[in-house]
Amino acid sequence: MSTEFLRLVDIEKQFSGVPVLKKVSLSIGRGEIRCLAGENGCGKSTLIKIISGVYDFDGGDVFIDGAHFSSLRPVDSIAQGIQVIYQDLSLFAGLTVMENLALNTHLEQRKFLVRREDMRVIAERCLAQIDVGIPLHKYVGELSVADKQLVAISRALVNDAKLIIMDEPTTALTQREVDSLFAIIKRLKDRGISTLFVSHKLREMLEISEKITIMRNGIVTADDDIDKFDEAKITYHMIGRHLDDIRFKATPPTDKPPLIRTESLTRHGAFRDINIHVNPGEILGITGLLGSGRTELALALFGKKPADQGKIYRDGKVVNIDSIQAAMSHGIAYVPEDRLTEGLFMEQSIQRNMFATIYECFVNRLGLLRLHEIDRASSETITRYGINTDRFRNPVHSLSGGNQQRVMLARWMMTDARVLILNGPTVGVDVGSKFAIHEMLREIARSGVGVIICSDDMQEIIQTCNRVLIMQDGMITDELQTEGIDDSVISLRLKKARQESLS
Amino acid sequence: MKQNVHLGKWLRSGGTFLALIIMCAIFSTQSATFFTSKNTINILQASSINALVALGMTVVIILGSIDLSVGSIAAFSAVFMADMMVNFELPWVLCLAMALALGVVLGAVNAFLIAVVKLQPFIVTLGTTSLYRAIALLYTDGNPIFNLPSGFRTVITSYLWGLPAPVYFVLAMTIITWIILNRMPLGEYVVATGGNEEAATISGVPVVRTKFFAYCFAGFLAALAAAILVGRLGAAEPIVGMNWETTAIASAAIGGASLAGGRGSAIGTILGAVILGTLINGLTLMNVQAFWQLAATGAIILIAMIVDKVARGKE
Repeated sequence: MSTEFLRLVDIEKQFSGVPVLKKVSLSIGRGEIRCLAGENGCGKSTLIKIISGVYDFDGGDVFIDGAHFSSLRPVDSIAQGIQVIYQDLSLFAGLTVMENLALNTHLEQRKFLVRREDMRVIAERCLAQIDVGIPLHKYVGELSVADKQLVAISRALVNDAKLIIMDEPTTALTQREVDSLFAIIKRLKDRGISTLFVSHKLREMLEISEKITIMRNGIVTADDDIDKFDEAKITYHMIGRHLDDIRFKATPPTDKPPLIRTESLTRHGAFRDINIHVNPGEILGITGLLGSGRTELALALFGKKPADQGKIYRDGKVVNIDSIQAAMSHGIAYVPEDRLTEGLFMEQSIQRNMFATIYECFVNRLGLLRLHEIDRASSETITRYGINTDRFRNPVHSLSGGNQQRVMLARWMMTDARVLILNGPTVGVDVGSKFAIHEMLREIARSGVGVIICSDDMQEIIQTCNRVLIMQDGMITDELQTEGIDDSVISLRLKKARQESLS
Repeated sequence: MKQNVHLGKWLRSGGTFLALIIMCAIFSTQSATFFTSKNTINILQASSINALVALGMTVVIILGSIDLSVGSIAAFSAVFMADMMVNFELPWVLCLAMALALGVVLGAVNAFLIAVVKLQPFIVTLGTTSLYRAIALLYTDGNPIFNLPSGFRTVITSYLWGLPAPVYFVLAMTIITWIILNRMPLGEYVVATGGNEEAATISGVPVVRTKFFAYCFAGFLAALAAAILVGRLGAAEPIVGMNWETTAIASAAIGGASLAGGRGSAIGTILGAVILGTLINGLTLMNVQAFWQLAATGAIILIAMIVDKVARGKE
């Protein structure tokens, strides 16, 4: 028995004549934890789909367990023990945990009637494999993302899996949930199951993987033991250039009141007694675990879920923010975390996405839109925000995640917002775009706008904010300046806050 | 990639137009009377009622919603208008205006239940369909109202430059709908809300107001269509407008509207309405039995959807 489970040699793949994979080789040993890293569009998703048999490959060879495959169908891949856990997890929200877990087995057995007792046995056996307890009769739609993921993982293990491919599994997880996911991956390793871990997050790659393969523009740029890498080196191989470590320093004017200030702001069951302020030109970070109340605070400032006690001051004057319209009229803008469901009209044009909020500013006396002006403004905005497209009439889903986020930012900056609130501004965005978005945010702040970033990406906070607040159980527990510290300091304070709240 | 989006759009409306031309060509070979100006006018006249209802339906569909109650709104406003004209003897222009206003109010009731109470559009309008129809029936005891003022009837049945008045109503409403959808912020809001309601809310799009507009507009057009029909028939029946919603939805869909929301056009819908009208007219001239006409209507809807799917590719 060889120690190698999967080997891809010189895989080539074209889409309508455009090469997306150019002689890509990759090998995964038994029980090996390998990370596949690269920016969006580098070809890693294509590679996964080739491994899982969804796409044919145009050239090269695949060896699984020593057996040669010149083509691979999804059934072959599954039969060989390869399971992919996609980002959407492919679970059925309307079925219970038990039904989700037993479904595949029942489909295979082509049963006409099912016994609930059988289902329970199958489901319990699944969950026991990763040693987690999730209530079997709960509907999957009611579970947290982390629990859903555990269900997906244990379902993947049903079919005697030998390699589990996880496509950006940590995107929606909190730090604690990431930790327990990693524990499970290690447990799988002990049982000889390999993991291919696809991720954007440098820190996680370094923490969990043993080997790393980095791709850029369809070629493998690095393939080695993880020990030989650090964050800067991974970044370099991913984007092909070095990024500087930056701190943002704000110099707010002393003669002006804060752009926004809250006094004992409270929303029952979400947060209480919040006193924060943001000066012109500042970037304030708010971090905290999921459930700390940071998202709720952001939504209260934006009027989506208004606070029920306390005051909000804009430019020193009390304002009543009880609706999104009220927040907008006071120059407050909000970029949601989930671009796909909350932020963008994916099927619609880039132009419509940028102008959705401000069409009314572009009407003539008859109430008709001044289309030429909108077109001109669209071109200008696309250039100013570096949105990578040749045509603003293209649908926004044709853009990469980073470019989509730029469209969101552009939309709000065109409203002349004075306070910009962002929730997880670079979730699901690749490293290069992330850097560009951070630079955009710094630029926006330098123009005198007050920016609030809610994030659990410590590095993001440290590099873009000049000041950071830590929230825990709906209260602000700590405040620090980012100058001269690194992200481990914040992580430490966060941990401290959590321990204090537990004790 | 560059021209794809635009080209696709043109292909889509061009395709609908092409289908209409092919259909006309076939009917012309089968019937000597089909391709005459008199028959063309007949087709336009017959399609005009559905075309008006379908325009309103298009806006609601682009919004990602549905309005099943248009036929009942038509019935209620028709008998209301006739009652005001015949039994209260108010000036017919005022009665017409009141009937149109009633259509708007009934649409607003739909919108209130959908946008404010936040019930699902399908079920709300399913409920109001029965409700509005019942009111129309109770109001008249199920009997038609005759003896409408001749002034009103003259206007509706008059001709201008060789075309019947209803065609001009359709023309005017098509232009208005087109302007709203393509040249006004309101239209952008309709498309945005239909594309992603959550995103629209968070972007500050006035979603509730937009929904009120769409349903009131659909109600208005249903009432207008009813008024025209009443004027032509010379009587208002409480059972007017049966199945109007189905034909209207079909016209919008043939014209390229997506029932998932976010997509549709005024001109496409008019083409869709004319296609359906032409089909019935042509088959009648060919002496095809009514049951087969129904089958052909069903087939043309499904064929249009399949062609649409194929033309759009994997999207």
